[in-house]
Amino acid sequence: MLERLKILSELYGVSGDERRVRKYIREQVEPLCDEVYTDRMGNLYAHKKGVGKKVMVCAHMDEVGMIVTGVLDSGLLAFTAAGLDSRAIISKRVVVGKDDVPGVIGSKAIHLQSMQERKTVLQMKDLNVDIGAKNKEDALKYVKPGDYISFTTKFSEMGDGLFKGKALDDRVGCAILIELLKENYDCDFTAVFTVMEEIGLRGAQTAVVNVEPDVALALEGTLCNELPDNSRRKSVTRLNEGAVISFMDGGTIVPESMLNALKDTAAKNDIPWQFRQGTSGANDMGPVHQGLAGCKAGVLSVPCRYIHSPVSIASKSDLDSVYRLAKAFLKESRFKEV
Amino acid sequence: MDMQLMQDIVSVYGPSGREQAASDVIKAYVEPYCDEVYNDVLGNLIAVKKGTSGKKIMFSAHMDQIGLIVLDIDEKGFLYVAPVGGVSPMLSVGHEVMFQNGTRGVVSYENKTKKFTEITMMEVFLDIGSSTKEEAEEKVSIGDIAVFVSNFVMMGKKVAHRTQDDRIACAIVAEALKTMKSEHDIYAVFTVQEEVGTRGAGPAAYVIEPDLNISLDVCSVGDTPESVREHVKLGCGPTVKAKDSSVIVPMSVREFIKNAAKKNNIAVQDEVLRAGGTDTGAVQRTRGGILSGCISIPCRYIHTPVETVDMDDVDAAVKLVIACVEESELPK
Amino acid sequence: MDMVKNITELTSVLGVSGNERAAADVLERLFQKYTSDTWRDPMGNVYARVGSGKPVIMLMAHMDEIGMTVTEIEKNGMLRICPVGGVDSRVLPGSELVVYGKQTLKGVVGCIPPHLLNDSDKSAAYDIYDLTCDVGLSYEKVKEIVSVGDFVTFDNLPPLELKNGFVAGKTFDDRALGAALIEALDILSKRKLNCTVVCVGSTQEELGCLGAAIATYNVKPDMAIATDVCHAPTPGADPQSVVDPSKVSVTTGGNIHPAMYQMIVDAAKELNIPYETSVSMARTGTDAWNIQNQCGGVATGLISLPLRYMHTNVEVISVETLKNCAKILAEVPARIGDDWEDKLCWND
Repeated sequence: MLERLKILSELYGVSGDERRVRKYIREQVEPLCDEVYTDRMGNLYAHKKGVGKKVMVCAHMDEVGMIVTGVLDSGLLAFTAAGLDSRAIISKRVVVGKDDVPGVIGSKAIHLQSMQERKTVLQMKDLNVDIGAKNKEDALKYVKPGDYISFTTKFSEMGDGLFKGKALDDRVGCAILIELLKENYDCDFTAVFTVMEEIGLRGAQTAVVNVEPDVALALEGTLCNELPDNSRRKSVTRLNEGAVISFMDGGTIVPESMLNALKDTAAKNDIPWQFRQGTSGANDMGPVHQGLAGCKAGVLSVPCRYIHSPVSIASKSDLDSVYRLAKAFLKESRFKEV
Repeated sequence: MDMQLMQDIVSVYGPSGREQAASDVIKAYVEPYCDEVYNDVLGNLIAVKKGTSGKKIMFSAHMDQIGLIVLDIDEKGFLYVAPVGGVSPMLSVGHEVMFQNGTRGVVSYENKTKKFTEITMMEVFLDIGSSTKEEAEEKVSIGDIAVFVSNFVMMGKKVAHRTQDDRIACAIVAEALKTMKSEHDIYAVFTVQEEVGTRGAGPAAYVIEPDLNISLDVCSVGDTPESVREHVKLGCGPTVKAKDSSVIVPMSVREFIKNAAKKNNIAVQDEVLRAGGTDTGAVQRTRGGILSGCISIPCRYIHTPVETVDMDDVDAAVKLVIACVEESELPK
Repeated sequence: MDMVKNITELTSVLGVSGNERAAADVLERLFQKYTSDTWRDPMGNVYARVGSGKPVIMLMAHMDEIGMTVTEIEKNGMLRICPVGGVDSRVLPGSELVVYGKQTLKGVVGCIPPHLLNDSDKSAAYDIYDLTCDVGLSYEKVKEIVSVGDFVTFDNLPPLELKNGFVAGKTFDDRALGAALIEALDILSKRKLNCTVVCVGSTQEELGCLGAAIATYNVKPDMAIATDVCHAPTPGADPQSVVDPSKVSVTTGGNIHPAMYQMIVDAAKELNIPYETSVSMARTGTDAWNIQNQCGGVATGLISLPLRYMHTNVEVISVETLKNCAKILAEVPARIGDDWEDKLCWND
């Protein structure tokens, strides 16, 4: 699973431009499913036919990133971003467009800044991507407005049982979901790899209509704000403390039956788990549980430090815990209780 | 209005997402008067009275209330919380709370960290009388939701309670179900999760597909000293909503409700609510569009522990609900 | 066909978000010149269908306009108002309004004469809640005619033709594009069609594109093109977010299916129509946003007409560019081939 996660993490797939991720996942899951298809939003569905409840498990393919909005006369690229803090993207390497044109996000050298400037936060509109173009005309040979811009962070293991990389939110979910497709379950099972989660939970809104699930589960990479001195509730989750179970977030209140089924499955299988001790942020389950006639939805997450930045850190043991908990929930048909 | 029914319905525990107890109380009251009463997948309570016209009128009143969800329990047994719905930190402090299992507590704040007027939910905690984390964990778990408890304060015709929003509307619909007669199918829907963004009403309407929906909720008033300018006054009748931030009510639906009121000599007020949304909009935008309007109960001090309504408005609202279902012609 | 005449007709009526009936009446009547297959829904959307079979392509322009509603009647007969949609309170003082009560009343938003203001008064922008609409009647008379919840709009003046084919007027956002739908129907009526085209005048766009979602549910299209206005350059505007008024803006980004973008661009190139790509990573703030996510997903495109001074009484557009919008709207469905379904697949 870790090898596959490395590949997934390093694929470029900014919200709205998930084609590389979709192509890779499609190849991986086609041998494992009865049918694999896309909808007109771009979601990828992997369906294992069965009888009984319709169970849908979602992971989103997209990652935070940027898009070219225009080219300046100097040849620098103007861009906008979704889900990023402008303070965290300066002095990073990027690729632009279909041909992976390399570029960098620069800023005025410290030597040239006034004291006042050093304290001022640079906004997205003050920042540009430099691909080395001579001028606007030259730049337009390589890129065009509408091209997506992605970070190029390499994936690797680090620390004590940890790994780092970009887009862990939510390629960890994608990696686990692919793994889950190797098993068979006593239900009509659809894995949905959704698009555009980061720009407004867009893919999930069509996924729920196309699948009409009775029970839905999201696999996510979530907040883990473990800075020194942060209390447990300020950190929301902790690395190495196991699978994260949500009770409520900005889009969903998890029903008691789902919460109990997940907690109980973890306890029975000796899988470490922790609560997501915060309610901010939302995910695909928000629109899913309210879609059509409604359904029961839950969320399992891998804690990821520094999500929505060019590089995040997560733990192998947590990744494994989420996988085992999701698998046990499905294998033991615990969805029948919710 | 049956005061016992009203008191039972407004007092029962039922924060957003955990409405089952409230649902059970309402169900017991409405079951004798309905053909069918059931909960849907999200927990909405749906009470059906069959008619003969082939048309369906839906009423929606939300049964959830705002609350505080436990995020963390500290070493000394204090509980830190996040809001469920629009809870003001300042208006929480100094109040009594209750959990689903009956555990009681009080709300206070870290008085060294910030001035009272500057506190956020981060500094607010619950004291449930425990001295250690372990002791607290015997009574309450992370993820449990507390609601504010308050007295049922009778002040002549006016009655104050923490949960008039929107249990008073649930009580009105339950009361109206006792005596209403209609040629149409009546779907009284007691909805869930309105306070966290009108999440329950849409799925209910999706399944029911009514020809007309009338939501019932509370609306703010402008008749208290130096209050923000609002047109609606307490005691001048229920309102017929024209607009809130979730919806603009179609003219035909407003006229329908006003005509029913006029025929039955029920005084109503026009309402434009500047801030706040209701289930009205969520239902309107279900499937291919559903005609949707709203009757509001004027209410002072919304989202504080002393939400106050006038029983004349409440009784008139019961009559208005009954008057609406007696109409043969539904709006187009 | 006289486009300015159609714009004049379409903008001469009230259509504040949530009460678009009068505008829908005009649009439906104009639709009916080309097809008798027109209808409405409970949300107030108006539809016109031509052609038959798959695919179904929906073309949409919103009919509603920003406006106000009466919140209170003061003791001296003046009206308090609140905005419906994005009304800039700063353009209100000194404006002439129309109040749609039992009768139509003329109203004026008063402003305090400068003689009575000090410097700090003048430096603060007016807040709509502090302003009043003066209809010149006593409380008793106003009470008989006006109710809380009645709609208020800016006064209607017919469009003003400026130099070089520019026209100024009210509610060109988005009724001008309604005129483009009519012109597109006119073009399509002279061509052979291998698909179904449903033109929709949508409601409540200014409140968050509410009508568009309902219309999409009702039409269940395979593809859709939303139309709206975008900003043309005005002094001080960010050059990255404006489009030259002689060009049709074609949007790309997360809200737009890449194949729809390509079909629109191909149509523009075929017709030698100048266009410019606008980029929107996420929410476009148009009907396109609430079309794409309906019915399990709709391949959605967006074209926009550059306009100066949006949401004022003197919105300025180029009639030539508007005609080009109409040509593109007609060209895309007219060029649909048998391979349409493949084009919409995400063959990565």
